[in-house]
Amino acid sequence: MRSPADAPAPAAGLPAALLALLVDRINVGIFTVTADGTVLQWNRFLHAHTRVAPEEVVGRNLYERFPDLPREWLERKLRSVFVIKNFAFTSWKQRPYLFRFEGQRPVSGGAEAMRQDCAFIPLVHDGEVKAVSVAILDATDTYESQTRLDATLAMLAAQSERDALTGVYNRRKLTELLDHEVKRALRYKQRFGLLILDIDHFKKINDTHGHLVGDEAIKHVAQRAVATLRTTDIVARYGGEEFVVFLPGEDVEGAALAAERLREAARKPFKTLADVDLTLTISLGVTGFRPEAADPKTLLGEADRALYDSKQGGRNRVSIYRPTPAEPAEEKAK
Amino acid sequence: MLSEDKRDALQEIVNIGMGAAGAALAEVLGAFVELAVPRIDVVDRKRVPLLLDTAAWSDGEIEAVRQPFFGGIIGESLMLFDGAEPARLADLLGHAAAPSVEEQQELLLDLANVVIGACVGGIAEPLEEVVSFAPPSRLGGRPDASAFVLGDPADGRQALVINVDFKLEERRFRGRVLVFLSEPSLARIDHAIHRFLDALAS
Repeated sequence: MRSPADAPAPAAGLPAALLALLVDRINVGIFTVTADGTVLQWNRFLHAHTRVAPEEVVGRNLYERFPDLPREWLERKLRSVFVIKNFAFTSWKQRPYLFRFEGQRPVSGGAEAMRQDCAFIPLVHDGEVKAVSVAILDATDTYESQTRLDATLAMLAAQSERDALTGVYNRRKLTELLDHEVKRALRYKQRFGLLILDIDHFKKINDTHGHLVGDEAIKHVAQRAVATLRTTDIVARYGGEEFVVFLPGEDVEGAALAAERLREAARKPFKTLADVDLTLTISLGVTGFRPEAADPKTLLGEADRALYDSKQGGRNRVSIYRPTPAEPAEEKAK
Repeated sequence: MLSEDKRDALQEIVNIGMGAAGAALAEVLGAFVELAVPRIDVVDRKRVPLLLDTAAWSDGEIEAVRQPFFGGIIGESLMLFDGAEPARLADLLGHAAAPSVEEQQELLLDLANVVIGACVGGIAEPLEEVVSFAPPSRLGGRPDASAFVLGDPADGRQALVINVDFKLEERRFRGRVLVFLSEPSLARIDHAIHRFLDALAS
């Protein structure tokens, strides 16, 4: 069968028969259809993967022979090529494949079916599109690399916002989340509570039991905080043995109640890896978002001052920052 | 670079090409595409970011689709559009309700492919240059379109830029197509315009 593609056969160079052989043998799936969907050509790549020989499909209607094809979509795509006389493309990123070729890589795994990039090529002769050739390229390798890359990037993104020891958010992510929360609370007139907490006599734990147990104490507090608080509350390691928590939707009193629950939970004994029962206490400082204290720095400063009160008051307690009318100005002056 | 006469001729060629493109697009998309009169500029590469100023029609994130082309003329095209638009496109083009993200992307790439193809084809065809296209790809969302310009913008080379603003169905989808022709292509275009003008005169 002579397809319009080979219309201007060169006088010298590759004879038409060899050119046809090239199209047949090339490691790309190539088929050619007319405007009414009649298949004019079907190469060996497609024969091998579909197990449908050229003689079973050439001269027949593509959609009748392959009823599983996304007909409406493919017809629209082909029509655009006939009308615009221009290339069209599809990528595996949006449409994994045109023909489903399974079991491509039984050993090395990866994709369950061949990922395909397709190019729709108008075969123009005398200013008219006589037929359209569709080239199907195996994009499985690209798909596999992209999938691995995406997974790695997602993992890195997750790691870059988490504290390695405890798994709670790190200080960098806290800053970002707190900025966001302040803006949100301002815009939607919402409230949130903020606490800073600190392990009491942490230096003594380290000196008595060693730094590994010190690490375990930090992990214990993080675990208690995550277990005690709501999933919508944000827990972050602020530094050393210090944590910051913010509680969206809570006022300062609600935050103080949560702080109290957390204080109770933290003082329950826990077993260290050396199978020693250890008991520790924490001190907490609480404040609440108010439009006049609408920046993370002010709020953290307030909670820190309340934490200082807890430490001064004998530790293992919750203190609440109480703004007085004179204080906002005083706060700014500092 | 391009003389005044030749630039006028190119403008004429591009205008005619766009007229034909609009008709073909309407048939394929089933939606009326309004293409503005193309603006043709020969600019230093370092001025390209200025051409990407989309402040006039978008205050949100900008999305872009890129498509290189090669053959008689070489270059690449960018289609820029408001990042909030893709979801509306399926509806405008009469596709199934609630398309998936992939379907939206595919539609957008298809739109870019036909609009860019029509624009570049509208230039190449009268000049009897054969152009092939690489697949279009998404460049992702950026707050500022000038961020799409990669490489050293100060390398002093010039580019022919054809700027076409387009709208679909009464401004419900709007975007901009920029066709950049590389410096080596400029000489070829110049030559082709010369031929074209000669053919008209004879």
